[in-house]
Amino acid sequence: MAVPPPQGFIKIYPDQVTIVQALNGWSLNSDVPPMPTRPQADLQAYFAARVVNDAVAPCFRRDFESPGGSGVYAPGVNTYELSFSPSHTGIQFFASSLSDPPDATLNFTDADFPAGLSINQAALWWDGLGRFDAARERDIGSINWKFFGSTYNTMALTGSWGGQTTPAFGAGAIIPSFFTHWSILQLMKTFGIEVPVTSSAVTFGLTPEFVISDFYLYAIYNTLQFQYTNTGTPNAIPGDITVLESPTGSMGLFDPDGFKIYWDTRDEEEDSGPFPGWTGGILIPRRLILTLSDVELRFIMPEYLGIPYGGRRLMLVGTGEGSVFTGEVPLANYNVQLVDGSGVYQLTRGQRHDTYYNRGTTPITEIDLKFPRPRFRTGFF
Amino acid sequence: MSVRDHAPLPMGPFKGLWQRGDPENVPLDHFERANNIVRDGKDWTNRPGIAISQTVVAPLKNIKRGYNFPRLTSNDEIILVENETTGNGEIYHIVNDGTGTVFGPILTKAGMTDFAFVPYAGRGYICPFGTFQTGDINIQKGLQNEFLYVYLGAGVAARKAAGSTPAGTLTIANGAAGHTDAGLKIFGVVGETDTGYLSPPIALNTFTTGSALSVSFSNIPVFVGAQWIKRHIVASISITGFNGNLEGYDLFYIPGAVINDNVTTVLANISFYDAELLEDASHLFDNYSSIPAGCGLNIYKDRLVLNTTFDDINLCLVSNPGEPEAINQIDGLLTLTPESSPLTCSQELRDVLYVGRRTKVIGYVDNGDVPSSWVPIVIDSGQGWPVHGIVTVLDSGGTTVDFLIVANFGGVMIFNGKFMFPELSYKISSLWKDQDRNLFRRIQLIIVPTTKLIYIVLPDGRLLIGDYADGLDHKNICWSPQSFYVIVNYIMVVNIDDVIVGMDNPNIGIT
Repeated sequence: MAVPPPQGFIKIYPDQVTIVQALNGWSLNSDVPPMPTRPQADLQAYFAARVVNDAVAPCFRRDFESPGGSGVYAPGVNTYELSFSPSHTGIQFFASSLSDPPDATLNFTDADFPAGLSINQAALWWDGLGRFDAARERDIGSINWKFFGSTYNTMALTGSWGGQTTPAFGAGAIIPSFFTHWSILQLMKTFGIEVPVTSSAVTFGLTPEFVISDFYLYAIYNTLQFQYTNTGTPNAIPGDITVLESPTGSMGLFDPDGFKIYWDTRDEEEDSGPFPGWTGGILIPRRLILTLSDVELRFIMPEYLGIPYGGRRLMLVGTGEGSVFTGEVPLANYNVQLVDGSGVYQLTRGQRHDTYYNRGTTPITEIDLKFPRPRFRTGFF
Repeated sequence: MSVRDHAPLPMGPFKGLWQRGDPENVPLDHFERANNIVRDGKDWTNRPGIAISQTVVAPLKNIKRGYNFPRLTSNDEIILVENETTGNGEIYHIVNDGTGTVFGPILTKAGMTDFAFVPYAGRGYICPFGTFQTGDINIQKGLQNEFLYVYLGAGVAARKAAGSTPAGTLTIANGAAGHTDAGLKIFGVVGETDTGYLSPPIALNTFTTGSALSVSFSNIPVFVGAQWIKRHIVASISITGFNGNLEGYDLFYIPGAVINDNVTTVLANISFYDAELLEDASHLFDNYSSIPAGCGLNIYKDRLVLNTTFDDINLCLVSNPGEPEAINQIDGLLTLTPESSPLTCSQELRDVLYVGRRTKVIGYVDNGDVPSSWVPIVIDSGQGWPVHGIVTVLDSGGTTVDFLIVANFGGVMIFNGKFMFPELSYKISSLWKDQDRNLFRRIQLIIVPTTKLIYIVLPDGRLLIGDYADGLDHKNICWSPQSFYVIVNYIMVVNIDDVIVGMDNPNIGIT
């Protein structure tokens, strides 16, 4: 009967070693057998002009439910959308007068947004689940951010709460201007929200608190002010470590769950996936993501499987499925010259790497690559 | 049991990959998984790396298929590539004489995703074929309205084998004093190409010769094409009671009545007796002038064997001995029992011609008579081979040590007139079964006796190496798969044991 080996016993030796080397490096008394990681001979590392780092154009996008996606992926336009989704907070507005409640101005400043974003236009959305708590008084003019709690009562409303408006934004502070949409609150005035006179729940002298929950601001941005820098291998090919650095911490803004590679097919009349004109979506597996922090993404470039050879523009996309960020966000673009490696080759004894035709250069040169995953695994003992 | 009584488990030497059923059953001296390693004595090490084979400005790419093209001066390669702009299949000739010369394309055909090739007398015969879908099954057969082509090897584009004939009527007259057997005879012209193909007799006409006179010919038709290099005058013996059917009598070559060009239209003063008319030309009437393309080419008993045309997937065409382009449309056929599974390829072993389907093998023996008289014998109704499924020994043939090595749905196995079991791929049966059967067209094998290695192109684009240094049997052969960043489409051997690998882009997909 086969007995499963202890953990760490069966090893896959990714480097090029002989059995003898592997066995010599193995010890029964060690939980983690020493790995013979030294190659038998010098391996020529990856190098070639396969990936040429382009000006990295990081950007954000949210596939939100509005049809107003603005076609932001038109060629040459680095315009993208952002989902700013403080769904865990309520935005409170205060009324001070039954007859003429003051405007409750909703101000967003650059500080409210991820650093480096330069807003162009935005749409303000709410879902109609606003609540009103007459018992809670606040000083007029104060604006508090508050977590929802059980003490809030659902506002008695008629009409539609849901809606959308498209405020205009200027430089500096971002001030959405609302327009009347509500039948009860009538609170939409330029630059503000006020309590409607018909609201029975509001009494003079009190400063009732209105809360609009699930308040979404969808902003569309032009080219962002921050940039990632590819500090890894400048000419990355599948298997290379690619590093995107963002000293401003941009990487932490959207908390991606994963990354994909798309390729540009705008010239080929292909149009599929979430990014019109871009095709594919090669998932970068978790195991290929070495580090991910606010300031750095370090990953191993996956195989370009399926990407047509020739000059291509690749797009690195971050994917998210969380409370802060949901959707796919283009992070970086690359111009790549995917080498057509086809050709006639000869097996060469003693050569410990593969040499391919490199058709990414003129004239055609050669490219040395290490063997793809040389390995063995023994059977169970 | 004390430690002292513990039986040690010796490891190695390892005997390669064991991928057969449950991984827990992998023997201690085998690998459960392996990639890109090969055996080196009793040890294992990296596989040989690949290096570029063409040091030229524009090396070939999008490689689909390749064959050895052994010639007097070099062992060349015939390579099929896909033109990425047009999508057409293009065949090139790489001259391995150290100059880096590449001829071609010597043949360009739309839809040619594969081709059959056989060298013969310094030239090569080419059949473009493709893959067609029948239900869920892919089959291979010759392209529609395509033909057998012949390539002379010097860079001139391949041309259709055999050839068409011009119209015209021979003019015959009495010549100077000479001799013939007096009487009415039928005269005609047979053209000859630079590959030895002889056309059907044309320009037939009758003339009554006189006993004391020679015969002169004029209006001798000129054939179209530079391949026509010679013309022969043929004649019947004297006919008594001619029935008017010019093609109803045997025609023979007249000794000495040869025009060694394709220009001259007259030939004067030919004398001959009927008794000198020995070499028959009548059979040429029934030869194909355009030989339909098939998916398999082979040489058997100095005959060209072509199988699986577009219109008949159960048909083998067999040429006359020594005349690969002379295939009789009536008695040069091996018509097998019609089946939906097409013929794949054929191979000679011990004077027997084995014709395969994917799961069947039929044997024929050349009985010295016309091919249509050969009797088919079903060798195996459960095992066959795909279109490239018979091993190539070094740069030619298929026989080594009096047997074949073939690859089919059942695995890699020895065929010595019957399939030998357990198959050589016994240890890796799971790996073999995982291969896509619709892609078995891609399987190709070569055996290199000098290094005792078998190389197999797998349907999934990898290369499988079998090391039989310890014995060519299912127990001792050591298997190890090899992968690359590109997919392997063919493999060949030049210069005894230099292994050439043709590779294509993986992004195109494996078809």
